[in-house]
Amino acid sequence: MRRPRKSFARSPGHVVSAAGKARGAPLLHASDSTGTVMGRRWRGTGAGKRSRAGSRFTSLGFVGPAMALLALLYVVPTVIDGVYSITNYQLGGRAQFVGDANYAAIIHDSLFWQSAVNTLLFAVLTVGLGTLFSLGAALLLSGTFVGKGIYRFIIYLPQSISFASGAVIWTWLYNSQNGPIDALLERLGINGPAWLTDPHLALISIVLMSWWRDIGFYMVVLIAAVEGVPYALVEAARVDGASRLRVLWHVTLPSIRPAMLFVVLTWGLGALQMFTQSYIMTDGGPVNSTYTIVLKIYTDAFQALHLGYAASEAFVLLAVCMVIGFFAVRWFSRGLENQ
Amino acid sequence: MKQRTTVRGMRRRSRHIAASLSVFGLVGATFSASQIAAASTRTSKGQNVTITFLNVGASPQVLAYFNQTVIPDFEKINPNITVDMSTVPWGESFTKLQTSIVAGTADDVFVMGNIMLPTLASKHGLYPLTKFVKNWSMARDLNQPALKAGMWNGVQYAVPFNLDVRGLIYNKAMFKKAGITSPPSTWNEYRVDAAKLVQKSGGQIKVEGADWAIDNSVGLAQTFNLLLTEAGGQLFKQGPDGSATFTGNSAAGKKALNYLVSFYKSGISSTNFIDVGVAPPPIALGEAAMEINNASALADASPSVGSQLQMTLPLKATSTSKPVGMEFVNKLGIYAKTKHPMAAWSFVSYLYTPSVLSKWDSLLGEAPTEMSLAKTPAWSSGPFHAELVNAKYAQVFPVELQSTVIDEDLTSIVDAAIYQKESVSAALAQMKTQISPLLKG
Repeated sequence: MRRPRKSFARSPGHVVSAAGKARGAPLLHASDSTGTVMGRRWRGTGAGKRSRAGSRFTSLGFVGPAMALLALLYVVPTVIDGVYSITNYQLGGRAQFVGDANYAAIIHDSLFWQSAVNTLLFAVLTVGLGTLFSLGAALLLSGTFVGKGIYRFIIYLPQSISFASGAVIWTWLYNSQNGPIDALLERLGINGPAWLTDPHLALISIVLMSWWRDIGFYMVVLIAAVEGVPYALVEAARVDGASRLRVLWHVTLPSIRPAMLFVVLTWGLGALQMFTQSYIMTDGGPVNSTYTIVLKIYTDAFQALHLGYAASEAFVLLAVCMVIGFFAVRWFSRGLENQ
Repeated sequence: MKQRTTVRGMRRRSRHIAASLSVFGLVGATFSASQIAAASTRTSKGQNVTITFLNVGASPQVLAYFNQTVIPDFEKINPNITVDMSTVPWGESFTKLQTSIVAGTADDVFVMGNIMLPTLASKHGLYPLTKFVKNWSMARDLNQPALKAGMWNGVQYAVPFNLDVRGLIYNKAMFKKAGITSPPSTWNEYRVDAAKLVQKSGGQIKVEGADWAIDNSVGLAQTFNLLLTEAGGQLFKQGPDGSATFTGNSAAGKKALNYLVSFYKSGISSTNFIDVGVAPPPIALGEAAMEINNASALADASPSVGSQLQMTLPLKATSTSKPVGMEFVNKLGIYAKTKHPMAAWSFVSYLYTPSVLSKWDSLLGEAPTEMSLAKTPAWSSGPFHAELVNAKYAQVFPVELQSTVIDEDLTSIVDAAIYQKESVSAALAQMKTQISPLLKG
């Protein structure tokens, strides 16, 4: 038996618009999932097919430019990176095929692994605790109270400063000799720490700076989500005697799950690619304690000139980001399906 | 008739060939007289030419001097040439130069640091200046080892415009307060004095007895190299075939690194004092009593601190040895693919006008490469005179093809040693393992 061809009328309850009717398509009031309309299998008319082909071209017309741009900006560089990663290409030199030698070298590159640990630690601290702080700020600053806008504005303000400028400002703030933070601590009788020169503290100091810069943005995203939670749900839970904490846990948090996915995914992938703060504030030091993978890639590519090797490091980072992204989306999506 | 025609035709053809050859020859000769002549002809015909100049590491004072005096004066003498200047900090200059050379967008004229030349020359990024320098009267007056440092594989690729000469800088007021009457001259005296000069509060160092120029760049590699040289060692040893072997992990290397680490172990120096590049170094801020640096520290200091700073001879490892310093030769180069080599060279040679070079170098606090300037009032006495004196004791910082990478690695290893994350022996072993392969590649 010939399989029924797909048609736009096959989805249950699909109704062709008046515009569709005007173009000659039949007006359908109801259809079942087999494509049977009013007891007859509908295969579509010639005009319908033309309309379907036209709509495909229209869709392509809308999506095409964006797809082409994405391909040009993301797919093509990724392919080029992949090709470079199996060569010994040096900036300004010639490339020779080296197979998996670059990937094998990564395994023995201790600085790469130290950078990987630093990057992971940075991402976990920044995004893990940062999301909690953003959520806390969003919960505190949603609802109605006097001065709400001012508080939101103050927390959001650092977002308007570029990371590079922020890094320069914080390098000065953190200066243990003449920086204002340690000067203030000294007035309070506390010996301020060496924020950026203590190998145990430097990465934490960069995390603090990154929170200052980013929490405002993610707070705004979460405020929008929190304020979008249907009030009827919250009210119903309260009427049933649920405490504030239970309302938060069982109503608010499940409702803002898509927003949380956005926050964790975008912030997390950004954190895995952290470069500016380390480059400007510490240049990866002291004792490589703030060396991140992207800083390593940059150094290998543009200082050591080993573009082939740097490309293989970039490919490893891409793979890690894709795996993390895949699992994050899957985990959050599962929750959404359950809802 | 036919034959006559043929003969006439042959004659005509041979005349055509001869004429064509002579035209081609003329064109070829004109062309082979090179792009230099072409650029020169263009400018002499009145066509305006704009050249770009990357003035690496220029302070605001240097930029102001160039914008207000040097460039307008040059453009007055060369009305067809316009100079467009930009700057970039030292720490980012190598990446900037290298990527712009590969991308084909490098500036026509640029300032280069000591170790950049081999890499840029090997990437065919530098215009050969041998012919220019041969006919340049100023070349004879230049510091000859510094001029030689502008060569790679026998070709002159750059000309030196100043010497970053390291010597001992000390704070006279702090010495007086500590009861020290004269500056130290040996390693041992330096450590003893530094221990007396260090100032602490609540267990933390507030003023370092001695600062070692830790920065976010390759300052530590330079410091280690200087101490290594003072201890009688060298970073590389050249073989008869021109190949280099790493020798920084020798007995002299061990002595140098042990000496440096001892300052941090005994709490005379602190890793918290970092020269961030955008601010004066610790000695110029009154945060250190002594520092091995160039006279730029004097130029960068505030008047109250600067008046107390004095530069003197570099140290000697023992009382019987000679003071040994180190100099880093800063150079000017021309981009290999510049469209205006003649105009670029005109600008470069103009910068060697004695008054221009003297002012430029004094603003940078670095010694001029023109020997005749040593006799002028600006350099025969005054705060920068010591730098010229120290140049007599200085050795040119050793450079290899992979020096930019080697210095990064060396900095990282010495960093681990002074933070005591690695023992001195382990650090030296790591130097050998990490740097030796770079010399081969």
